[in-house]
Amino acid sequence: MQRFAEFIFAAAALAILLPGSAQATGPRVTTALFSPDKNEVHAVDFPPFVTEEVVDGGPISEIVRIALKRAKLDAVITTHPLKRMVRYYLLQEDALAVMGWHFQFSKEQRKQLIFVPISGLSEKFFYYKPAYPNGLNLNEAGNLKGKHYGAHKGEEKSYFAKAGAEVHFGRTITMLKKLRQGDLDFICAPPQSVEWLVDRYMPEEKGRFISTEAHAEHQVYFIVFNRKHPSGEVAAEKFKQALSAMVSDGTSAAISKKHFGDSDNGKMFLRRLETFK
Amino acid sequence: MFIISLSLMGLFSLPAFSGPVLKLDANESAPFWSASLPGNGMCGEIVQAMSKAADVEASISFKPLKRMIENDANNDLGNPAFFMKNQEFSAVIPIAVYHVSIFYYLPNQPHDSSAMPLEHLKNHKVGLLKGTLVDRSSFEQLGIQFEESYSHQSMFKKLRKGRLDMVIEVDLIGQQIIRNLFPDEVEQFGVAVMPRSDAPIAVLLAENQPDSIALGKRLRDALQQVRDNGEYQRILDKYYSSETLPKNYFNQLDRFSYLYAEAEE
Repeated sequence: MQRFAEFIFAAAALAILLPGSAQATGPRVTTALFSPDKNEVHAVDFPPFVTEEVVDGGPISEIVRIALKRAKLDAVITTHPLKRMVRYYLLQEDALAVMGWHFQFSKEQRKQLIFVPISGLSEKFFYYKPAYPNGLNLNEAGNLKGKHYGAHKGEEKSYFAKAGAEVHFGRTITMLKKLRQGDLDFICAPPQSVEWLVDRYMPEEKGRFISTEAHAEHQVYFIVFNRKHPSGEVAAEKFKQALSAMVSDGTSAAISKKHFGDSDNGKMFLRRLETFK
Repeated sequence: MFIISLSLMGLFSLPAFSGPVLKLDANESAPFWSASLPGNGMCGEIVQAMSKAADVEASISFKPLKRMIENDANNDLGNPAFFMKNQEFSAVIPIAVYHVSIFYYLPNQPHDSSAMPLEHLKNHKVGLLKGTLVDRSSFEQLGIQFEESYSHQSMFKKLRKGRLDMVIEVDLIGQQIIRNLFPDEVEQFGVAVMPRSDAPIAVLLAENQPDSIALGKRLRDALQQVRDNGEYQRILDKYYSSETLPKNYFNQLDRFSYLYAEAEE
């Protein structure tokens, strides 16, 4: 114990000389840190929709947080960098709920889950203009042969693989960087994400990531409640009612407008909310 | 003299390795990482032990966090959450676990403050280091304001003077600052580890690191080796007492190893 105290004291004497600021081995202060008894809703970081980097956590986080509050469900949203983490907390630690898209659950796993759609997500195909100054035509399968396609994990990719494209996986920001480097030819992503990430990480490239005329399939972003959690089924029902009321009374639309304004991206975000009133 | 010069440059190299070269960037956060501490701090020592077991020549350069985050082609050391937003890694190898604690000064705040509900924070003056507040707007919606500081030392001085009710800080960092600033009053400070505050400290190998996947496996195996032969525990014993080492430390480390294995899939 004496040796321990001496060592720590020596370490402190040196450390005290060092400047203090945010550290790579430092605290990350979130509301979840102060809420050990609250349930958690786990999600992968997905800017600008679900991320601690955007005011109020982004539009999907804000919609979910308000719906949870109106449903009197005591839960906080926690974001993670990897999908595996979200699956782990849901399936192995029986968390109340998770949020996400491009989920891949087995038939057996789906039996224990309750899917509640939160918003529609429209995706587009993007290419890097300096690499294709005359545009990139993806409407014909023949044009895909030999191309490098950047996809999200869990995304349906068989069409591209069959057409001879080489499929790579990654997060949107790293795929944008690979487009710029020429390692990828095209990617599929929500335009709001592309716009936000380019603004945040590569503003000098603004206007160089171009969406094609080819449209990707619409996706749905879900909150998934867990029947194995003691409150899972009741919470899902209460949440559905609260969310439905938010769509009807215009709260969801107001949140979308707050984050995306009246832009086309905002309208795309809300378009499919109508389908699950 | 040469060694001193290297240390002042923030660079530490390990001698006599025949295996691959691994350059790693770290950020000053003593006692976990520090150019001024023997072996570059607790995690520096762990990296050295792993490198030796893996026959890898590792060197650590100390850089500001901002530069580490902005560089998307480097190998990083620290909490993966800081780096994974902007960079894809071939391997993420958690090597240690840290926890966040609430520190309070008993003469001013005689009760354990760790059990305080979130909503009650607005009635208290809580200090934290600038740059550590992640979801500011969520706290603001609850009417909670933090007093942010650029210096660890000033936070703890304010805590003692009663200008702050609590300080949020990483467990080992807070404990050593108290020992240094107030060696005669260590017992006057209360410390409560916050539940759910466990976070990993990892070696993150960049995609462009040559043979990064094989290197990652080699380092994972080496970590297991130094855990099995007791070297890892000997390093921990220099920094934690038997009372301060969190009970679930190794379970948490194993869980983080599982969770971050996705990076290699």
